[in-house]
Amino acid sequence: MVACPFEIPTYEYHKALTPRVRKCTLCHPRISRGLLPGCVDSCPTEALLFGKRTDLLKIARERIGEKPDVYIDHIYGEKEMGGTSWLYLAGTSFSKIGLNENLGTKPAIEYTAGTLSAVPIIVGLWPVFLTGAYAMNKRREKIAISEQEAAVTASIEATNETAAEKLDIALKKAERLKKKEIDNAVKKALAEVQQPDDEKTE
Amino acid sequence: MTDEPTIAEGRSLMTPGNVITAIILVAGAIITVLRFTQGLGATTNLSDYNPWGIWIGFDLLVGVALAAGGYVTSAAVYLFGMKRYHSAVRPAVLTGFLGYFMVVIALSYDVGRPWRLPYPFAIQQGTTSMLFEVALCVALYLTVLFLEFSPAALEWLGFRSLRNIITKLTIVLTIFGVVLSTLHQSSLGALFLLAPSKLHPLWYSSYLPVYFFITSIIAGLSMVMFEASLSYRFFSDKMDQTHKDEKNGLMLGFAKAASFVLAGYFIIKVFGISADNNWHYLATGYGAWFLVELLGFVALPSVLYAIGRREKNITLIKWTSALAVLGIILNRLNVSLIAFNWHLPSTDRYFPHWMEIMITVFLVTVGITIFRFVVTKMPILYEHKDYRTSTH
Repeated sequence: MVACPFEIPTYEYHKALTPRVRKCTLCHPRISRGLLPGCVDSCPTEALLFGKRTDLLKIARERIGEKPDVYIDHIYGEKEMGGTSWLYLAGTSFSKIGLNENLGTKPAIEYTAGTLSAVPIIVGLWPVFLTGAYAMNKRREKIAISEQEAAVTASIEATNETAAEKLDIALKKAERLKKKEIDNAVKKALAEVQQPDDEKTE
Repeated sequence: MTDEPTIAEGRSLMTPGNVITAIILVAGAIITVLRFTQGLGATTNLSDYNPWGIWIGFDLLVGVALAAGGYVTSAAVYLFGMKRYHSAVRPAVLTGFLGYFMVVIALSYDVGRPWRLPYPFAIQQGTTSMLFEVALCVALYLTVLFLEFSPAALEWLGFRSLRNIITKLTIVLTIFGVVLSTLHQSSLGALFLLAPSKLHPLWYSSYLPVYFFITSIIAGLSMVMFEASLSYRFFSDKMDQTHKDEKNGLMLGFAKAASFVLAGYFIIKVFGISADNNWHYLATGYGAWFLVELLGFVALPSVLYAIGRREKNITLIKWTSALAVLGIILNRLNVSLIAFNWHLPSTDRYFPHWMEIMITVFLVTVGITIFRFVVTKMPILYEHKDYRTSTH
């Protein structure tokens, strides 16, 4: 109903449980019995004709050709929105009798064909792209974590190294101090030993 | 489902808010009975010229757009690595799930025979039909949202192993959700491609599916910000510290994103007018209305979001998110109702029946009531104590 540019389909708004969208079937049950549609059958001036589309188009062109002053040179419905099963001839502009003249010749279904053809592409490529985005972020996260870990180990190592160096220096210092102390003590002892000797020799 | 908790609340808490809620729910229930016993003719102003009213224009189109926060937030956090907005995922997914759920409920009011909604899957597939795509994607995405939401409910109910299985599917569900959202958000716009003679040329464009998809991102981002502000105000006692700490960062980050997307949308709208050379329509009445939408509800929020982000003005961002949400509502109503059937004389134009408006108010109220119930009971705004620091 929304899509029909001629506003033909109607709806059974009064029905609560079994509403239907309806439109003219050209009296399908009559046609299958070999009869004409009711409206054509009962039209006394033969303003309405029923037949194969190609035949009707031929008749319409003949009529326009025979009376070019009476008819506008256009068969409404031949090409409108891809062509319709109802065809109109008129002696006045079609918009005056309530027919939209700016519909174009494209069938309605072609307006959405482009969008619908994009569907499989989106279904196919979006997951690839999104998984890629996910994987890239996951990898970046992993790298960030491993880099952080590496930085931590490196700084721990650096700290350890400087600590070891400091310890080494401190140890050497202590050793030197100890050595000095020992030396001093030895010297002192020697001196003490020598002193009484000197006294003796005097 | 709807009346029980409210009646119970009404007895214990006779606050004005609860009384109004109860009145709306009762009125809605009565009109629901009328709708399904007397038909659409008795309860709506729909006609052969206007088969789509506010139940489609507002409940469905606006509902789906505003529920986009679910896929936008989960994609940002799980796929694009914005982990610092993690606390926003659950409220956004809940809103998305409830939004889509209410959309399907609203659709069953609008279609003539709702019990035939499964027909497209079982009986009449039409792969060249736009509505078939919409039906397929909405049904699948509602399932995805249900699964994405379910861990919160399962934690609440204490089904640990099932919850753990579903959280393992998070990434797959998120990707599936983005694919389905891209498709049906855009296909809702594509529905109007079928009516080039009925929709005003300023709104009709072959870019309509793209417009609908891009605006869904704006709607999703803005709704998450809008809702975060409201939750912060009304459910503060339910929030854990992480949620509160992340809120301002979320507002700033999403405001920046929304500002950019709005700017991009503004540009493609201008491209759309240029592509169809519709500049001369801008001088008409519809043109003025189009400019109100484009300048007041696209350009203005884009600038305000940028200022809010730059000056770290959370209040400005909050009000801008409300403006942007209004802009989305206006856009969907313009496309589906206001600029639709613009060629018809005013006597054949549509204005909603009061019962249609009442059902819309009713469905929004039901949605908010369920949201309130879930947020109070389930771990949405806080992490469940047994599952802390989990990746979901």
